[in-house]
Amino acid sequence: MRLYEAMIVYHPDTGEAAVKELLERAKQVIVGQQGEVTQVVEWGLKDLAYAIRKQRRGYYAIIEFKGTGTTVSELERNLRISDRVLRYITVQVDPERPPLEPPKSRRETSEQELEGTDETGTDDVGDPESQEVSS
Amino acid sequence: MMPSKSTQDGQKRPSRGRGDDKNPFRRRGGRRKVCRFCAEKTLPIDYKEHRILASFITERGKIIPSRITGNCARHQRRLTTAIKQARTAALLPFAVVRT
Repeated sequence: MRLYEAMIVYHPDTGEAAVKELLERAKQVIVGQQGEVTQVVEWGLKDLAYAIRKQRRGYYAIIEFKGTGTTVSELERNLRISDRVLRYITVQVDPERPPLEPPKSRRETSEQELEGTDETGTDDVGDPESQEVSS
Repeated sequence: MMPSKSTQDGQKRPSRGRGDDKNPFRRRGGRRKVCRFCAEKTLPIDYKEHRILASFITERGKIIPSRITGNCARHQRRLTTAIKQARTAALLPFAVVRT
């Protein structure tokens, strides 16, 4: 048994109650495959970085679970079938990592983590970009 | 009695060769680049942290080479994986058209 997490992006018109139900169904799939759901985190409606099926927003949720490769393929098979699911991604996670956090608000992140992040990011980086834009 | 010229010479003699040149292996101007993830051990490389990842892509959405950011090979490897995962989840763009 390995630890995985599946991030699922639902169609924005699904509605919170319906998403909860879909998540419940996904959990049942995992349990039905001798998996064990360890955590579920909902990020809620978020802007997508690009349009998927003409939608610019999506309802994000993450399920962390223990299972095997067949658990993952069965879960993904079910996600593929549903037309409510815009996108999903399953990744194996380090069992030692801290539990999932609720989504950070834009403010929080910009204060804490982006403080140092911007400097090296932007000023070292500007050069190749400006060349490209001009071409 | 020494001619005044010689003293002036002594002081103003231009430095010959590359006396005060920097080490050729040193970057010209600017500070030394350090891998951000090595320097800041708590900084996570995770596809869910798209705001951190966003500082390692260009405005057009391309991954910035470690040659420019100074990331070490190991962290750059993990970073690119995380960025690609974040792209799949629509947390980061594949390309930004029309800047």
